[in-house]
Amino acid sequence: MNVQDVSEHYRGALSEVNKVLVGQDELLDYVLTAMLAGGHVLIEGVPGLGKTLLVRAFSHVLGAAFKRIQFTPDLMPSDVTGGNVFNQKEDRFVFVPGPVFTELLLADEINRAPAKTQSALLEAMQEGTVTIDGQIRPLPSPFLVIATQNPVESHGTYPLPEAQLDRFLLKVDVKHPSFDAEKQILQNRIAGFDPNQLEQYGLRRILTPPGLLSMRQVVASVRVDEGIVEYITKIVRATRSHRSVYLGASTRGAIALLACARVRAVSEGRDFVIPDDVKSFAFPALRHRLLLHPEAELEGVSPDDCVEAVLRETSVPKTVA
Amino acid sequence: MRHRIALPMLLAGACVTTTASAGPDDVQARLESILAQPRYTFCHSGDYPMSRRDREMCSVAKGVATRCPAFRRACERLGALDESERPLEADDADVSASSTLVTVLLLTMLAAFAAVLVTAIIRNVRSGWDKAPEKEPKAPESPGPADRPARLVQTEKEALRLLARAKGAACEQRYGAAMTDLYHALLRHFEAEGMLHVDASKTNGDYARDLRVRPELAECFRRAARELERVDFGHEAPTQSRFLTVLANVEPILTRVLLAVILLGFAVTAQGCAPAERAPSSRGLYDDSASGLSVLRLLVEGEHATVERWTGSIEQFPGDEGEWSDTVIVHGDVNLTPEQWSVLLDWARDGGRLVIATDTLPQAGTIPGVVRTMWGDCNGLNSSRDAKVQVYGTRYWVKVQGPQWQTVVACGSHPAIAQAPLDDGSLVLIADSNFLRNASLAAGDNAYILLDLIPKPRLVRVIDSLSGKGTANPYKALWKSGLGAAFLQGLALMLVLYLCRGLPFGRLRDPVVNRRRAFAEHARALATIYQRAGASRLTLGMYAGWALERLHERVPPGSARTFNGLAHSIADCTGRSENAVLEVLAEAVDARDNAATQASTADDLRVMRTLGKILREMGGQR
Repeated sequence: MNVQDVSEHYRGALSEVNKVLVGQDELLDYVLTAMLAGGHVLIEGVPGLGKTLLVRAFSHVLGAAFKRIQFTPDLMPSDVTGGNVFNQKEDRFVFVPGPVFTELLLADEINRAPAKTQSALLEAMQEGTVTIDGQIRPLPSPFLVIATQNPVESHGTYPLPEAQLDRFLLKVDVKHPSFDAEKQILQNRIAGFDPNQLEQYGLRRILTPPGLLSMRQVVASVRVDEGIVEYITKIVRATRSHRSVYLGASTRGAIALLACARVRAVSEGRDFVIPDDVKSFAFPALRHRLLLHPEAELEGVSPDDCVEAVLRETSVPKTVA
Repeated sequence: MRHRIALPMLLAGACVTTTASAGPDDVQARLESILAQPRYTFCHSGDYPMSRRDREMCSVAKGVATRCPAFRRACERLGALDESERPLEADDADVSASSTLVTVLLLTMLAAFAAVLVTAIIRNVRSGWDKAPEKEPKAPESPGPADRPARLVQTEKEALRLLARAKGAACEQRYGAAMTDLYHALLRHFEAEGMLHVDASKTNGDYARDLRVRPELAECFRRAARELERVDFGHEAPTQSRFLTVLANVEPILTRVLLAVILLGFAVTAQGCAPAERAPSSRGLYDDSASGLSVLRLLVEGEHATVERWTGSIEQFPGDEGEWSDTVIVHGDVNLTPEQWSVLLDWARDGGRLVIATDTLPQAGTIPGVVRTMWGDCNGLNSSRDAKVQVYGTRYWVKVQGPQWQTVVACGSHPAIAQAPLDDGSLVLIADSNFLRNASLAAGDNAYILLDLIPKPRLVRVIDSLSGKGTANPYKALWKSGLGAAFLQGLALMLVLYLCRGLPFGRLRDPVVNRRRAFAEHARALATIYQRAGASRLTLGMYAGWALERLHERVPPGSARTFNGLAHSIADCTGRSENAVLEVLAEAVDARDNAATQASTADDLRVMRTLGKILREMGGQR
């Protein structure tokens, strides 16, 4: 598999999912990028924008196993990871895997569960394993978590800790679809579209889990120029010295930005990264890693404002001085 | 062996001085020494470039075989010897026929150019307006001025100079630098056109988005940028082919404006020149080509005479200043008015010798006895006085009337060269103006005939197409040359270009960016933040604290010990009601001491304004 093959598969997968999910092109692009970069996605948006449909459609196109966890305040870590249950017949403890043992996991409304339960995903997201009763159990590969959270409701929610947020490769703000897209969705419904029966819409299986892993190898071979590395470093360091930012992006953030830029390069059929690739992922890769000063938050400054200011002040390599 | 023509005897009855100043052998020797000079390349150079006028001189090529063999060979090579068999064509195409087309072209281009220019200016001005007012300060600040110190950067911003630099670098095989310069040239071009703003933080994607309104340019830019990115960030090396690929995308865009300016300039010049009379193609008395007149000048100067061109107006001839000339040769493509001819004839009647060798004769009757120039078969030219004298020329002859005309050279039975007395002076009529040109005088005994026609000259003046065109005033000279319109249009073009683009002379420098903000901007930004937060009470509290201190300072010592005393003093100074002052002071003190309490924004602003007015009335702001 070479760069052109990956690019074709990438476009093919997007086109297939687009058949059932209308008006969320950017979201699809980010999710597929996260898949190829081996990261996880946090989607922030109001309910009813097609997040579940998105994951289901991707599971169809990828041929990957899909599970969903609805996070609630009383959800326990074992409800996520699974646990050892005593089997009276066999007179021994038997491991019952939780929903985390899947390839595509939708963690719906992740901020409704307490930090303890949220943290049950930490190891899974970072290491691709879960440790239960001292025994490390590997998760299937590829493993992708797509978590959602509602930005409007704050009562009865538990904000994700910084460590947890940092594990997400991208945080995507989902907006309402455009007028035309929304109209198209309604027309699809009139035509009989049923999101629970995606099979009947002829979604082709473009990728396979092993194929996805091969694509990741191609992504890893993409050339990154010294100037690009410097550019990413400058951006990430600038977030730390921004006056509105209390805690800037971590080194993991820089790595995430690099990984996403590589995927973007491959998706456009290039075997090298250009500054545009970096810039296009600066917002989703960095916004959730910035912790703002309370005064800045009071003044209405958002992390996106800070990222924008940083990009405006950072020189792009090898352009007009 | 040649024989001297007995002109004095033939013209014994006439009042013409006919004593020859030199014999044919002397003339022959002098002519050969003149033509031996290397500057007469038509005599010596085998690859002499023949102009159209020179080709006309091939009619005498047979006569120059011994003195100028190279000219004869050049004529033979061109096959132009037969030119003498047919009438001559006009010298050049008449440009007046094309003047209408040129005018339409010019007006169209001027209109298009003006439209483009006005559009560009309006767009630039509007973009300037859009950028000028900053709506409100952005809350998220940049990492700080200390991180990016202002510095003076020498940057080439002129697209065409960058293009030239790129080509220069490519010639030195520095293709990387060349491609970078091309890319910069393209960006600077777009910036100059107001399509984008170049900034160090912008990527190629940003620029391409800026160019969305012009998809064809955006595509060109993308192609160029893609090639450069392959080199800068990819595995590719900068090569000549890549440079040429980028150049092919960039150059047409950059040179489009230049081409338009060149075309416009061409049209302007063409229009400016169109009404002007066609300038003579030769340099007259100093022209050493086959069709020049320098041999004439040297021959006459060999007679210890002076030859010069008459540059003044014909109406003023012979003028009040200078030496009185005894001979005037009207030669070539001159088109004198009857009045001008009358001036010359009057001068001839006073004792001058007027030699007329023009391409076209004036209307019949203008010159006494001269009707018109004719062309026809006459089996060669013959001296009417001595058959052994060899004369070469075309088959032009003149139709003259009257017994006073004496034929000097005949074309068959018609006069090719004739002369006649005119009161105290004389007239010489030469049918073919080419007779006086270099190649013609080099042929046979033509030079001898000429000197015999103007014996013992002292000052010979030549009137040609440039005569009368000269002026002491340079502005008039400009207008008379027909370049006045072009000059004015060029000035107008430069003015408009200057208004549009400034003066991009010399190495350009970026202006130093002043990153320090005025205190007022900080105050305004702070006020905006307070406004957003609805903190009018807090603001009033801070302002009231400061204002009360100032008021205490400005009332007489001792009177401000108490609150009532302060109010009384202020009322005395300002003429305000003491109760009103007391009320404002009470609100100010309350705001200062209880900034956290809630009040309406309108009330807070009212108190603040009143305090400000009182402060001003108490002694102005400090």
